[in-house]
Parts: sequence; structure tokens; C-alpha cells
Amino acid sequence: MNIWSLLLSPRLWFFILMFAASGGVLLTVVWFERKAAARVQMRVGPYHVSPQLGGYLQLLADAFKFIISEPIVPRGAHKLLFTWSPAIFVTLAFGASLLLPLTPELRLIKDPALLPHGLVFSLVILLLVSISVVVIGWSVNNKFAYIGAAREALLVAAYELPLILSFLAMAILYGTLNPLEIVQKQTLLVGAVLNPIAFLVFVITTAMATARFPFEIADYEGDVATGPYSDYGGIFLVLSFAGGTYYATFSYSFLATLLFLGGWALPGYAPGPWPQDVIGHLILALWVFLKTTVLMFFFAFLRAAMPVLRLDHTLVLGWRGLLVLGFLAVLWSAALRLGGVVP
Amino acid sequence: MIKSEEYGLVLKEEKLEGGRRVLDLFWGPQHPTSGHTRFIVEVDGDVVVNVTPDPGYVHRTMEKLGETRHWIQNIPLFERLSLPDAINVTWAYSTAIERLAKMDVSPRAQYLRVIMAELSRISTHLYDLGLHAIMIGSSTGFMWGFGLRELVVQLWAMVSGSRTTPTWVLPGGVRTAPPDAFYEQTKGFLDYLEKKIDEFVRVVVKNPVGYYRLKEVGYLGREDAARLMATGPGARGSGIDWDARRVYKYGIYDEFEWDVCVEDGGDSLARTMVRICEIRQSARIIRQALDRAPRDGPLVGEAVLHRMPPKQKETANQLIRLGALFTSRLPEGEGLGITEGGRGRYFFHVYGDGSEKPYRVRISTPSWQNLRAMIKAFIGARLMDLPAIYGSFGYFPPEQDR
Repeated sequence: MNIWSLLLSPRLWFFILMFAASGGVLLTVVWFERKAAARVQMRVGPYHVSPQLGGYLQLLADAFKFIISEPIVPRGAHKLLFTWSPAIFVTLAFGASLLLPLTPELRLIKDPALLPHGLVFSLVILLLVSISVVVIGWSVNNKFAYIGAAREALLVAAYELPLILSFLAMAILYGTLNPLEIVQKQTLLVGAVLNPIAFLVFVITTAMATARFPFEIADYEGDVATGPYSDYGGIFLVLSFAGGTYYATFSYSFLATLLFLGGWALPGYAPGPWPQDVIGHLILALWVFLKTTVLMFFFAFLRAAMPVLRLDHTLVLGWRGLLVLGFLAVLWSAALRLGGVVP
Repeated sequence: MIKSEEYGLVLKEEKLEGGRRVLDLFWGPQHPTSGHTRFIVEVDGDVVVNVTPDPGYVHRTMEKLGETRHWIQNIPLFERLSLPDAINVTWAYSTAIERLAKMDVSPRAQYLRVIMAELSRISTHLYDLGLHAIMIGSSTGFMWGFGLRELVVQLWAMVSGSRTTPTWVLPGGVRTAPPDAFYEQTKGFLDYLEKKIDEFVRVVVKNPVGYYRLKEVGYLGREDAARLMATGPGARGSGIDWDARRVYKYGIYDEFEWDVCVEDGGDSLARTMVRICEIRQSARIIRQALDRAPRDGPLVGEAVLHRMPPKQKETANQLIRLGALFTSRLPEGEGLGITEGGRGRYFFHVYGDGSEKPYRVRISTPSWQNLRAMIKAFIGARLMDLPAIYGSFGYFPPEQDR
């Protein structure tokens, strides 16, 4: 086997790009979250780590501090689930994005016929993340953690259906589940313009699913003291609450980029086949990550703008507002499709 | 492997009569929002059915300590009841001593006291609004409240030399005279404050999410508020038109134009709006007082002045030294001091037995008085609303426990 075909394998490049770029995206987003909040709040924000870069590397220092701190398992906790759930959390949260293509060629799933399955599975895996949150809350065996887990379960029930409906609306709109075709059809008009209702529902449910403000309810500090994660520290906290949720946000945003924001589609630009045109594919990957980052910036900025919504109001919002909007999105897609507006 | 009976909440519940089951939650003293106090919260599902307060974690024996120190040494002690509201606390204690020893207050000190007491009220309201904001999850409101309060404490530092513990109000007057820059900078601060408070209302209170965290949450009816003796914004938010500044007419508040802020809502939103309104009214009072305050004159009244050594009397327009004068004996008798602090009414009752120390000091603080009203407002709320109600009363455990 030729060494060049190994080194230029699209899977290998996909893997490296996803791991490196998601780390970079997270670094940027967390830095933006802190700096933007500081700007709003009459503060300076992270500064002392890497002052030349405006505190950009603060997250690395935080992560290092968390990782070297002692992992503590409380006495009453279920040891196995307590120690493994954070790893499962972050694996599911990040793993979902590995099933999606980054550019037409750079992808993990080689067989194009399997790509639709990858798209659906990525959503399914993302919805499973919340189950690991419930498992975390249950295994801690603490009243606050358990209440937080129960809230998470209630929230899942409220956002799951609208999320799936908005996904379904886009599938109906494009008439396919193949991400390659989905992106190709958005070359001129992106999905967010074609079906803004579905985009709105997807964004709000993403904020609910990833515990972004104003939906930081399961881990609301005010009454349940960070809920399911209340007994976590060190590496466990990094994998679940402090890092895992950002990976979940990344995966959701990546999915939204493909579904609603046109993915890698650059009008008037098409790279050559993979091994010959590496640069072209890298440009497309950069374009995708750029969109993902911008979407994550929005979720990060919510922290500076929003308090936490009440649990009962959130459930009402999910069951009455978002569910109805989800159905409307499906109807709108069906109308567009029947009217022949979309190819 | 998994013994499921050990996990979950069902076995942790307590069964009550009538088949009801409630869960006991120990909210505090080690909790992000409870402060240094404990509430034993019984929840039925998501609804709070009973709250038992367990105060006393920061009890510092203020009343007993007060009996062991000289009269004047109690001022730095008692202002630690509530550092954000230090001026109003010490004013109440000083009033009690003035009544006891029949001291007069110099006219200049009257104006300066009003200016600083209203700054103190603004500082307390900003403190409470900030903490309330972080309790409902808005870190922006928290930072703005404390960012603005930073300017207040800098003004305090200008006047008294200390950012948080001014020890500034004395029996008979005040300790230091503000520099001329204080008058200008306070006006600038008030302009900025009023602009920023409008932004605060827009971003935190009128924010759709924040609004529904506060609206119709923690209802305290007018009758309940009166019966449970709520005070401060806790009472005025329920429609009770009571303010110690109006009722007891202490100081020279009658000379200024200002309104008592009353809201009829009775919920967390009403109490928050009372705070916002009072910040604006305080700014109104300070503006008038700044214009009218005499820039020169003794800082203490005749009763104190004539007991001062001549050398110190020369600088009595600038600085009063806390010297041997104040460790002297006070007559036998009793005195009562009441002021309206940011959180409500401060009450000091001192008894003198003719010695250099108080025989007894009785203190009543607004947080302690508001406790029962707050518990009343807790019951029936949802678990997530506890912080929103707690913050709306401006509950402050160190002040409550004394």
C-alpha cells in the first residue's frame, strides 16, 4: 500500500481536522463568551494568561487546573456510573458530529448511500446526551442533583419533539436526507431563509438541549446548585458540564450549519477531487467551521443578555410554543415542496 | 450491581397526613444563593409547601459585645451589621446616644448626614439589585450593580477615608468633612447612575425572561405584610405607605422634596421596582442637599464642641478626632434611634447607667423583621422561585443574625 494514499486518506484528514478544529473553535467560543460578557458587564475579562493574545489561552489554563485537581467520588454515589457518565457524555456530544461530512470528500462514512443514516444518527446521538445527564444526576445520589436530573428529563420531553419536527421540516424541504445533496441544494438560498420557522425552532431547542442561557434550568445555580453536576469536580466536571456541553453545542451548531446555513456551499467555487486539491477542501472546511463558530457565538452571547427562565414557563414554551411552531415549519416545508418552489 | 432502592428521591420523601409526600431540602448555609442561613424547604413536587428558617449562623453577639465597649467604640462594631448600609445603621445608633445625652447636631452635619445616608441607601439598593440579578441568573445585572456600587464606595473613601467601613456618623455630628471635589463628583455620579439604572431596568427587569421570573412571584398581600410587620421595600412593595423618614421625621428630610415609593403589586417585581424608584428618589434628595449644604461650619453640635480641647476645636470644621472625649461617661437614661435603611427600619434602643459603656443595647434590623414576611411569600411558590423571592426582600443574613 502506498504511503501517500494512507497519509492523504480523507478519513484521517477528517479526524485530524475535526479534533483540532473543534478544539480551536471551543477555545475561541469560550474566549468570546468571557470577553463579550466582560465587555457588557464593565469588566476586562480574562487577561493574565497570555495578555498579548487578550487572554485567549485562559481556557487551557483552566482545563489544566481542572485536570490536575483530585477527582473526588462522594460516598453515597454509584461509583461506576459516577465516573463513567462524564466520559459517555462528551463522547456522545462530540461523536455525533463525526457522523456528518465536513466537505464532499472529507468524511468518516465512506459509502454515500450510508450518509443519510449518518445524518439521522447524529441527531439521535445528540438527543442521547441528555440521558447521560439524567444518569449523572441519578448516580450522584444527592437531592439537588436528583431534582436537576428530573428537570433535565422534563426539558428533554419538551424540546425533543420540536427539534425532531424542525429536522423533519428540512428533510421534507430538501426531499432528501443525504447531507451532500442537502448542502448542494442550498447553494443559492440557504435553509434558514427557505424555512425560517424551522431555523428558529432549531436554535431555541439547541439552547435548551445544551443548557445555554436562558435555559440553564437543570443546573440552575439559584436553587439546585448546578443540579446534576453539583458533586462533580476536576476532570469529571471538564468532561460533563464545563467542557461536554460546549462539545454538544458544537455538534448542534455543526448540524445546523449543514441543515440551515448552507454547509460548505460556496457559490461559484467547487474544489477538485480530494487528493489533488487539498487546499480547496481545506478552504471549504474552514468555511464550515466559520459558520459553526458564528452560530456558537450567538449561544455564548446569550449568557450576557439573559437571566434564567422559569421551569414551568419553559415547559409551556416547549409544549405550546415550539411544538406548534414545529408543526407550522413542517407545513411550510410541505407547502413549499407542493408549490414547487424548491427543486 | 445497582441497588435501585438506595437511589432516587422516593425513599427520601417524608409522608405526611392525608397521603401527601414532601421532600425536605436543606437550602443553605452552604449554597450559592442562600447566604449564611439555612432554610429547611419542604417541596411537594415543584411547589414549596413549607419553609422553616434556621438563622443564627453568623450571629456575632452584637448586642452583648455592645455592652463591653465604650459608647464610641460601638460605632465601628455596629456598622458591621450591614456594611452596605453602614451610614444608616450608625446614624440610628448615634441618634439613640443623642437622645440619651441630649446632644444637639450641627446644621452642617445634618445636611452631610442626609447626603451620605442617601448614598448609603443607593449602595444598599445596588447591592441587593445586583445579588437579586445573579440569583435569577443574570450575571450582567450583578456586575452592573456592583460596578456602580464601586463608584459609591469611592465617594465614601473620599469623605471618610474608607471604602466600606466609614465609621463616619458620630453622636452630635459627623467625623470628617467632604472635600470640594466630592460635591462635583457626586453630581457626576448621580447623572451616570440614573442613566445606568434605566439600562438595568431594560436589560434585567423588563427583559422578557427576567420579567416573568419576577412577575406574580412571591406574593405578599397588604394585610399579610402589615400583620407580619414587613418593612422597607418588603412593605412598600405590598402597598403600605410607610417610611421612617416620613413617619419619624428624623434628620432634615422634611426640607427636601421627595416621594415615598409605593407599589401595589406585592410580588417580587413590585419590590424590585420600589428599589429602582428609591434610587431615583435618593438621587433627587442628594441633588437638593448638595446645593444647600453649607461648605463650612463645625461638624458636631454645641454639646460635643464645648467639651473638646481647644487644639482640636480649631480643626472641628474639618475633622473630629475620636479622642478621650467620647470615652467619657454618659448620663443615666435611655435613648431611641430609628432610621430608614435601604432594607427597612433600623432600630436602636440604648440604656445608659452613668458609666462609660452602654448598659444594654437593643437592636432590631430589617432583615430580621422581614423574615416572617419572606417565609409567607415563599410558601406556595415554585422551587425555582425561591431565589427570586429571597433576593427581592434584600435579605441579608449577617444583618438578620446581628
